[in-house]
This record gives sequence, structure tokens and C-alpha cells, in this order.
Amino acid sequence: MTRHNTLVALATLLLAVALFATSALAKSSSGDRVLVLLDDISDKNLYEKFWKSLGDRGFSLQFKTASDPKISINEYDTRLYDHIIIFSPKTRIQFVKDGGNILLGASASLSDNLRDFAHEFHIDFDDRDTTVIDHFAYNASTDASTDASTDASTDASAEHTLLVLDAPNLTNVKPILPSISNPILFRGIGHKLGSTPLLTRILSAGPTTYSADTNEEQPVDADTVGLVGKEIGLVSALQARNSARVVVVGSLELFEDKFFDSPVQKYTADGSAKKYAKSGNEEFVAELTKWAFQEKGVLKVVASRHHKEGETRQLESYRIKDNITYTIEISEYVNDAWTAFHASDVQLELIMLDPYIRTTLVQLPTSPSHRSGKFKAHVQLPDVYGVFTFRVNYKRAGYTYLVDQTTVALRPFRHDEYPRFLVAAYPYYTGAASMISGFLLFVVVWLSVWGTERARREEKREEKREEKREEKKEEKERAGRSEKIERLKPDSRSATPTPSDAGSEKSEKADKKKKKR
Amino acid sequence: MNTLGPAIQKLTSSYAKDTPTTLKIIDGYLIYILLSGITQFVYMVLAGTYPYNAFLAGFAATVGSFVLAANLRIQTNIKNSADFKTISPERAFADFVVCNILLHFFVVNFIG
Repeated sequence: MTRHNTLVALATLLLAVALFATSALAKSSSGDRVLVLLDDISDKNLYEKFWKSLGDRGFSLQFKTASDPKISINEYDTRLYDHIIIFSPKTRIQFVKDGGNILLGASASLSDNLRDFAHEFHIDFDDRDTTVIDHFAYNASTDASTDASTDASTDASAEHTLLVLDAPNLTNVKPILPSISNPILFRGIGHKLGSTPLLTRILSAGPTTYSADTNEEQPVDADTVGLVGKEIGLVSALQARNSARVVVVGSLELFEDKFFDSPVQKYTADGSAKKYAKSGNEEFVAELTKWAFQEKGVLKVVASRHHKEGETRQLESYRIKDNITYTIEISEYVNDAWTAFHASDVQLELIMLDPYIRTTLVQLPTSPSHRSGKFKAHVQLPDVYGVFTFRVNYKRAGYTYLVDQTTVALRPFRHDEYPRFLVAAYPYYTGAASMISGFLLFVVVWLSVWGTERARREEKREEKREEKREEKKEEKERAGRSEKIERLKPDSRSATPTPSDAGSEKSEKADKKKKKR
Repeated sequence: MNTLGPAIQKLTSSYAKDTPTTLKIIDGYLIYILLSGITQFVYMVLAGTYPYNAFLAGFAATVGSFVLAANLRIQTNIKNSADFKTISPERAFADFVVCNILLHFFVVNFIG
């Protein structure tokens, strides 16, 4: 009893997973070495079935007390363990999350540093010493083992802290949990969820539940009550951006053997009681830890490629308005092996600062033994050139976040790739052609005309020149005759020509000659 | 206004009489180019500029041809021979042919 109290008092469960292990035999896709830290080694006995189920799934457990000074998690920068279960609430462990999965269990007395730790994931636990109470959906089974777990302080509502939770309270996110047939028993503390989209409610309380301090003597009223109704989260999960999973459970007793085996009696709305021989806790815990430890709901991108229609080579640059095909293969980790993933909402985006195209990929049928599912899309590249990113951004609740992107350059049309011989441009084509033919015709015509004109002009020039020559001749004769006449005349002149006269005649002749030239 | 009629008559008659035949041929060629250019422009105004490069190429063909032919006319006009002492009419014609070839090459390239 006291043992249970201490556990209830400060128990927190932390599972940290290190880098993905290379072990191929592990059921978990990230590794199978588990270190369990307990306050006291004898605590181990309370969770026998839990250890057994983990062992069946291939995890190798190593138990140590938290106060053991020789615990080392890292050695030479590689982790010694893949998962850590910390059942020792008193130990403060510095936890650096980089890819590690966490399963955090809490109880009514929760240490403050773990409360702050949960607050990092937008999970706000209710005040210390509060438990969730429901006067309608409690376990009415008269089995002594469950009653024995109630608090020593015989508060009449004490037995109503053991809640029975059924299908309406469970999440419907299929990758996380399939449907659990039997109801689940829960006793512990409730929490409030923040508004981040990374959170999923796995188990939440019914409309008749409230969270209050059981130790107080005063009756609870609307002012003092903490959380009420469906907003109370009992088990919640957050999948971080690196796909590390954090599951926060408000009850440590959920994991106990006692709860696994306990019969359940539930009152339904019309007052009748429904009995189950065994609670659904074992199944619930198994499925929950499978999801938390990356054994299910895990996806990976095997390959992605793109090529022009009709070709097979993947190019680094395409032309605008090309038709291309994009193919991506995605695997899911199911039952210890990678198999084909089936989905109808995987989308491809073509992004250059903003998405230009967003299209859904069609799943191609493949043989059942194929290890990955093939998705294909036919896309006509946009009319804008630049550097584009082909991105498949698949983020769904419960599944690993997938982001796969390649960068591709889009070039504009080459000089000769533009549309040619457009009907709208025929007038321009004929205009240019007419210019060319007109030019050729003009050249032919002009040359012939110019030739004949040229010849004619030459003739005229010849004639003119001849005329001039004749003129010169005549003038010469005239000058010669005039000289003779003057020489023959006796009186007007002396017999011998005077130098001045001869000179003057000569000069006259010279002048005439100059003129003729 | 009443002097316009006789002026035009005088112009046309003296043009017909005094202009050498070669120049008249060039003038006819110029008018042909002009009509082609106007047609293309009117078509562009009506039908829009969709293949803009085609319109520009066609129109530039007409404009370029017009300019080159006008140049040829100026340079081969005997009355201007004093201004073009270094450019004989044969040289002017050779220039005309070469430039036209270049022009049409560019036009065909750009017209798409």
C-alpha cells in the first residue's frame, strides 16, 4: 500500500529513445535496448505483465535503480540504450530530446519539474493532489482487488476515482489505436491540452467527469473545480516535428497488473450495469506503446523521381509548360516489416515562394509483396520560369511526418520553341514576303532601266564632247586664217612682225587655248 | 483654293515630263511599300497585337525598305551628284542591295 503510495506520489514514466538502432530484429523501428530506472528494485514486481509484454516484442530490458551512480546513457557520443523508462520520480534527469520517444506517466502528486516538462508539450496538468472523479462512469465492480486500491481516507467519493472509459472517449485516429473492445480503467490526474496541431487526444474523460482535490473536506463547487467534462485529457500524445512521439498518461495504475486483470462493471445511461470479465487496459497499453515506440504508424519515403513524359532520365532543369511525371514510393512499418503504404491524399506541390501547382497523387496498384506503395502524378509545369521545388509534404495525425523535396530549374522558351505560323500573324508573314519579293523585282527592273538610261546618257555625253572638239577645230582654223590675213596685209603692219605684236598674238592664242581647255 | 487645282496639274505634268525613269520606278516602289505598311498597321489596330513580334517584324520590314529606297533615290538623283562626290550611283545601289539583304534576314528571324 505504501509502496503504491510512493509510486502514486511521484511516479513519472519517461521513455527516451536515442538514435535509430541498426538492429533488424527489433520490432520497434528504432531499437530495442531499454533501460528501466526504478526508485527501488522491488517496484519491478508491480509491473510484471508490462515488462513481459515489452519482452515479447523484442525489447531487452535492463533494470537499475535511479540512484545508481554508474548509470551512463551516452558513451563516446553514442547511446547505450534506445529507450529509457524512468519509474523513479525523484531523479532529475536532464533529457535532451533529439529523436527520442517519451512515454510519460503521471499521478495525483506530480513533481513540479515534470509538470514543467509536460508543459513544454502544451500539456497542463491539474493542480497537485487532484484526481479525476466521475460519479456516473466509475467501476462498480465489487472485486476486492480494485476496492483495495482506494485511498485510505474513506471519502465517499473515493471509489468514484476509478473511471471506466469506453469507445466514445477514445481517439478515432486509426494509426494510433484500433478500436478497443473492453473498457479501460483509469485512476489519476487529468490535464488540459494546448492548441497546437501536433497534439492528439487519445483518451479523454466523459461529460460527467470533473477534476478536484480529494483531500479537501469542503464540497466542490463551480469556482474551485479545475477541469470539467470532455476537455479533461487523460491520455494524450504529441508527435514532434521530427516525428518523435511523446505520450502522456495521467495514471500510472493504468499499467499495473491489477488493472490489466480487473473485471469491469459499467453503468449505462438507462441504469443497467454491463459487466466485462477483463478490462481493456492490456490491449490499450500494448497498442499505445506500439505507437509510442515507433512500431506502428511509421512511414518513410523510399524513393522519389521525376521525368518528362516519354523519357526516363531525371533532369535538373525543365522548360516551362513541359509535361512531367512525378513518382514517389512510401513504405509503412507494419508487423515488423516495411510494407506498402496505402493512402489517397498524398499531394505534390510545385513551389517557388508560393505553390503554383498542388495536385493529388494517384496510387498505382502494385503486387502485394512489393515493399512500398507507388504514387504518381502527371503535371504540366507552370508558365513561369525560375527555380521550383517539388515537395511532398504529408503530415497526418498518427503518422510520421514526411517531407520530401527536390529542386528543379525551369527555363523559358528557346528562340525556336515559341509557337510559330500562327493564323493571326498571316498578314504579317505575307507583308514581309511581299517586301522581299518587291525588293527583288525592283532590283531587276531598276537595273535594266538604269542600264539603258546610263547608255543614253553616255551617248549624249559623247555627242557633246564631239561638238566641243569640232568647235575647237573651227576656232583654231579661224585663228590661223586671221593670222595669215594679218601677215599678208602690207600697210597696217611692218614686214617683220614686231615683237610686241607677235607677243600679243601669241598671248591671244594662249588665252584662246586656255579657254578651250 | 482655286490655285490648288492648277498647282497640282502643273506638278503632275512636270513630274511626268522631267523626272528620269529610274526615279519614277523608285517612286512606284515607295508607294507599294507604303501601302503594305499601312495595311499591316490597320490590321494590327483591328485584330490586336497578339503575335507582337510578328507585327513588329512585318512593319519594320516596310519601314526599313522605305528608308533604304528613299536613300537610293536621293543618292542616284543626278541633280544631287554634287553632294555625293564620293558615292557614285553604283556604290549607292550596292549599299542599297546589301542593306536590304540584311534587313530581310533580320525580319525573317524575328517574325517567328
